[in-house]
Amino acid sequence: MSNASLDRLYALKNSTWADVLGLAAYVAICLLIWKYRPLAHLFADERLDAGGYLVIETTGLLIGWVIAKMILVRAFFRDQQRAEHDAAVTALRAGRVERASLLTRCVVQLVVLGLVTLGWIAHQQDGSWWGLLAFVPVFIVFALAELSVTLRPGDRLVPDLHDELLQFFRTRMLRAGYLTALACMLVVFLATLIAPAYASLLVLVGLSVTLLVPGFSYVRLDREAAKGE
Amino acid sequence: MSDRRLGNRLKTRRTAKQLTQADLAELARVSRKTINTVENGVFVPSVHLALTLARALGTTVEDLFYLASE
Repeated sequence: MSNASLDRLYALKNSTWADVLGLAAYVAICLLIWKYRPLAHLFADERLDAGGYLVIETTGLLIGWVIAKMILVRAFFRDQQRAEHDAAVTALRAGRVERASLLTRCVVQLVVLGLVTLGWIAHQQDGSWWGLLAFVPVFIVFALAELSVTLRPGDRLVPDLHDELLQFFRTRMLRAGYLTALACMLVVFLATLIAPAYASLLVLVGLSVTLLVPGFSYVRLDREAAKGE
Repeated sequence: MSDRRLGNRLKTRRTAKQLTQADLAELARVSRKTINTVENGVFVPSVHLALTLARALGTTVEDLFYLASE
């Protein structure tokens, strides 16, 4: 193996270790914050309940961590970061980067839906808005990501827009999504008659289902198309 | 009401030329799945793709595709 290759390998190993140590430090700080709750002790403001402080503390830690990591990477891993960035852009343009699998996307969507549900339950119990404020934007981000999969289907992150088969798949996926949306709206309407308190939550569940059904439709069509010789 | 389905002889013409789906896909610069779905009648290609396939197989669009009612 050449010296240059070995250098790259060592740099990669150092970077991996730095990532693992960084992640461990981040988790440790998170646990310390959740245990000692510095903001809740420093400012005993009644307008912010315990959940509100936790959201501010966690968000603050996340922002601080991102800034610290950016400074650290710029100071010590600048060349490697540039090389990795160039490689990633090249791979993305060449269509070599694959999308997350449908299973992974389903799990993420369900986890985020679960977090929103927890926020909704907290809101129902004590009127706290913090859970909804924290998790609904995350839900919207993942919903938009799933919508982009429907509008630009394919196994690659940047699919070929001129691929006629993918355009055909998209038509079928949109049809499946449209029919699911209609069915969900009907269910939500019936739910408002029976249990109006759960209607807002059911809208989110319906939205998640509507976004994921085209993904299932794509997998079915893709498998069907792959059969043959 | 007339049958509006589109039939095709893509598989016949392809095998006559001793090409696999992957070979034809490479010639026409499309995916193998595209060739497979066209052959199975799942997907009706555009005029552009039909012309490309016909050219790749050295034949005409009329030879490759026909109206099922005919």
